[in-house]
Amino acid sequence: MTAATPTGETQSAGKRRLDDSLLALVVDDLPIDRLLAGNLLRAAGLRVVFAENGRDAIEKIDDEAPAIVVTDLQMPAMDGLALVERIRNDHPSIPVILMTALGSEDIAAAALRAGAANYVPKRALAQLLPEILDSVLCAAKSDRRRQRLLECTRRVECELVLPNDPALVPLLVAQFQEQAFRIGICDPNTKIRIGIALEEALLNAIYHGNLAVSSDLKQQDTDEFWRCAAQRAEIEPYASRRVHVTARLALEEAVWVIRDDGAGFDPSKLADPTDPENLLKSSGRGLLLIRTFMDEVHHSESGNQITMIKRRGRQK
Amino acid sequence: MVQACPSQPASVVDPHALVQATGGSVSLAVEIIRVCLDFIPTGLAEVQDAIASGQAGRVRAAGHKMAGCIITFSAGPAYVAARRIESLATQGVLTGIDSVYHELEDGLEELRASLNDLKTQFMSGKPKS
Repeated sequence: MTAATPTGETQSAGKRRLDDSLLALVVDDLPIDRLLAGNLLRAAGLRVVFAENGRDAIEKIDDEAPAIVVTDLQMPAMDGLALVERIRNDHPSIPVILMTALGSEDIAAAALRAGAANYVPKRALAQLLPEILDSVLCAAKSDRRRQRLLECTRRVECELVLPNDPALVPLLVAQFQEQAFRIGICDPNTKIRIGIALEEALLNAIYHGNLAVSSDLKQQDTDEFWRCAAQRAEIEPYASRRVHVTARLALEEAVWVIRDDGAGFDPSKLADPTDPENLLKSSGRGLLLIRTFMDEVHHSESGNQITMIKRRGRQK
Repeated sequence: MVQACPSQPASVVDPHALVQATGGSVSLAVEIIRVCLDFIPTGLAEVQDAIASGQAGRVRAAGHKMAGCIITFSAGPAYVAARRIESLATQGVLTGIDSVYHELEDGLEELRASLNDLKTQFMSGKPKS
């Protein structure tokens, strides 16, 4: 058995690293981008296999069952959109991260609607991929025992008031995901997408709402973004602000309402995040994912409350 | 890890962008330069063949691939020409694309020289200050 290297060469199975780490599949027709993405994934502790197009990728997925697929969009033989659709149908529990480039905004927006879990602009691969990878893999995890119990659920209502602690977010997201999945609102693929949307909304409430740190700063200077957020989490008026979360899940739909105590904003001035033209902009990225993955999304007039609705068995 | 960025050997290469993209790995940077230098003649031939075929879809794909390769290093003339080819082909406009192809050829020649220079600097471990 052989495994393709980023540059298209092959190496014997005996030379491959055989351990229990997760396997990632990188799909790109450009050797340079395979090298760059593969390097980042290895640095994150994953084993990596490569494919040069969608058709090649399908074979690799069938043979090697990767935990995650990171794919380009414009490729010969089978493009990224067709690949996402195929994975969505045949392997719904494998999350897909898109690598987007200038000129592929339309197809990226379509692939997100078709089932991709997240996207990362190629120009910011080194800065954003590790964080996005964490987020997607975390959202894809499951706890089987808890799943069985949750299958008996018919209706859930809860209200939480959270401090500005991002460590709580994945725990809460995982809880909501399992509730939605077990109550029958979503399938495994949609469950991952719901997780991404909820995480984006909760982190938006903490960082942009309560701590008032802008997404532009993150794009310009990641270290400064985190430094500023950590500093504000300790000082007033930011420190005492809270994130208020209400969830109502029933057999037909799930409704999540997330409110922050920040100054808010004018939602009518938001750039349309579903416009492919805005896909590569730093701001509005989270909202694009939320709007793509949920069935209905509203902001309050003051802009500091978002309501997200997901209906049973509906794939956007 | 890269301790210092080589100075820009010519105007078309952005060594900082390369170092950023590789997470500071010199060996990866050198490998990527090597892969790009290997790709340039093949990619250019793909663009030329696509233009000769008169099929806008092929031209668009070849231009996109070339731009994707170049942007790792530079947003200079070669990248601009590749993106222009992709953009014209997306609009179905192939008239006058030959002159943009020549701009791409010239830009790639310049890029190739700069990449060779940069590779030498990285490999010697004595980046210009």
